[in-house]
Formats: sequence, C-alpha cells, structure tokens
Amino acid sequence: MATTKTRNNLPTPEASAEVVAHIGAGTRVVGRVSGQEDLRVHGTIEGSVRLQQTLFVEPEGVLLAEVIARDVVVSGTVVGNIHAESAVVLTASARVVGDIRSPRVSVEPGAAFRGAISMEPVDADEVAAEATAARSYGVTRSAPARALAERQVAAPNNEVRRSAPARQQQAVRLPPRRAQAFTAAPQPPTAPRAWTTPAPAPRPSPPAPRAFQPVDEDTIIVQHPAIRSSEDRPRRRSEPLPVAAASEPSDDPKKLARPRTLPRGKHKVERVD
Amino acid sequence: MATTVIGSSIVIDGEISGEEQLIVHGTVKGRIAVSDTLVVENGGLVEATVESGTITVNGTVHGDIAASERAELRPNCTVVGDIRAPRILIADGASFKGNVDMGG
Repeated sequence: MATTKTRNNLPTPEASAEVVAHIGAGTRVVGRVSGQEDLRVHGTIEGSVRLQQTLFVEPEGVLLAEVIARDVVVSGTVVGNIHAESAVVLTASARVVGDIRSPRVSVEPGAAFRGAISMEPVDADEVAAEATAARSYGVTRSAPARALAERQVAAPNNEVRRSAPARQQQAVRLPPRRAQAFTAAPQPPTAPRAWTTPAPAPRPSPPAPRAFQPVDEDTIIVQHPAIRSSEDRPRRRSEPLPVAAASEPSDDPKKLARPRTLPRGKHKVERVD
Repeated sequence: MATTVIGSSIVIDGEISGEEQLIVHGTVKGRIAVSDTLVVENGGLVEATVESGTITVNGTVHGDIAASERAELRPNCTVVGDIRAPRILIADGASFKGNVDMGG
C-alpha cells in the first residue's frame, strides 16, 4: 500500500511487490470510485476517482474522470481534471487533457498534456467546497470532509462554527481583483484565502444563508455591493421592500418608512455604500 | 495481470463490466457484469445486480445473481437475493435468503 518514492520524494510508476487494488485491462468501471489505498488502473474508469493514496494510471489505462487523490502517477490516458494533495507525475507515455492542481507537478519529456496547471496548495476554501461536494455525493469518509469536521470541532466559538461555511462559500466566488481588495479588510485568522478557479464540483445553493448570518465585520465584507450576487443587489428606492413591507399592513405609514424586519446585514450595507 | 482487484478500502458506486476475473475485497454498489469469474472475498460487500460466468461468494452479496455457469456460496457468506445459475453450490454455514432458479 505504501507508495514507492524516489530520492526527491516523488512517487514512481514502478510496480510494488504487494498486491494492490487494480482495475484490469479488460475491465470498465462507470461510476464513482473511492478508497483509502493505492489503485492501479489498467482498464477504463468513467466517472470520478477519489483516493487517499496513490492512483496509478498504467500505460493501457484510460480515465475519463475527475480525479482527486494524494498522488497521481499517469502513464496512460486521462481526460478530466486531476487534483492531488501531494504530487502529480506525468510519465513519458502519459496523455492528459484536463487541469492539474497539485503542489508538485512533474511532466516527463514525451508526455502529452493539454490543460492548466496550478501549484497553489489546497486551502480552506477547497476543503469547504470538497466537503459540500462530498455531502452531495453521499461520500462520508472523504478526507476533506473529515478535515472540515475536525476544523469545526476545533473552532472554540459557536458563532464562528456556524457562520464559517457560508462565509467560505462566498469567498470562493470572489473574482481575483476584488478578492485582493477585500483581503485587506480585517478577517479572522481562519478566514480562507480566495481561490479563484471554479470549484471542482457543482455546489448546491447555500441553504437559507440569511437566517445564519451573524452581524459582525465579516458580514459587511460578504454583503459588499461589489461582490453581491444578483439576488442581493441593492434595492432601488422605487422597488417595494420584498419581505417586510409586503407582510406589514399598509395603513401604518411609520412601519412602511422603517420596516422592522429588514434582512440581516442590509443596514450595514447602506453604511458601506 | 488478467484480473481486477477491488481492494478492501475501495468503494465503487456504479457499474463494472469486463471480460476478466474480478475479485472484490471492498464494496461495489450498482451493477457488475463480467463474463469470467467474480469472487467476493471475505469482507467484501456487493450491493449490486450481478451477472457473471461463475460467482464465488465468501463475503456478502445483496442483490440478484445471474451466473451462466456456476454459483458458489461458501461457508460464512451472506447472500440476499435471487440466484439464477445452472449449477449452484451452497456450503454448510452459508447464509442465503432468496429464490433459486436452476433453469430446470
């Protein structure tokens, strides 16, 4: 199960003596593959692969899949994005189309590759996105989900724990330049850096974010008009107040002028404007 | 290496098809269609509709089994589902719930 490493600590494509999980050349898997051990693919996998160890795509192996693993060694064909926590190695016979995301990437001469490479380390945003994706997947034992759970347990403050996912999701969506402008604002040390590529998996819409948003400095950042989603755009004066005014009886002019149940954070938004 | 091995920590949710031997130590959910032998090892869990030439179960199978040649339920295995095969072996100690169809 242990991956052989060279002196510079990159995983190597050599076969280890142990019997490892492998998909034979005549086998085709369609669906989701996940696991906590090395996997060697001589056959075909379509769908997604999540491993907490090393994935080897052997020369005759074909992957039409989103790959998330600790290490990925490609000697065969991969069509899909590769995300490795540790390292990605494309050997001379590799054929890869897709984006690679890993702190260490090695491409040997002869390898064919089309796509983008990012060596940014995995950060908290990614963990949150992964956790969301994993939840929608029904994968409960994935590493990112566990990491998030640990982090949440470690968070001493209840308020922080509850608000963190929503804030992280907002931060993920920041476009690059705006993200820079906002990182100058005071943020708690656990606040994630904004990662600017699209999240790796479709994220379900955040469940009832308004109800959870604490009234603090972070709320101001989240609600800034520049990053507000179209749904949150500043209300024009001519437009009716959506929730509060509609539910209030219209014969009371005071209440129309100053509705009590403005959505949270809106007051602060006005100040930031 | 004309076999496929699903290791004990591997979970596959979907479909596996192939022409070679498949050995399952881990978990497979969905559908398995192999023309050769399927072996569900002790600790292996298959929650799937299975079509194979031969199936040998030491672990657990939940789902219907259709074997074109032979189905073997070894001691300590658990099978819940219908079995259709011309030859069926159920060992002493095997746990089985379902219908058997030997094509007779």
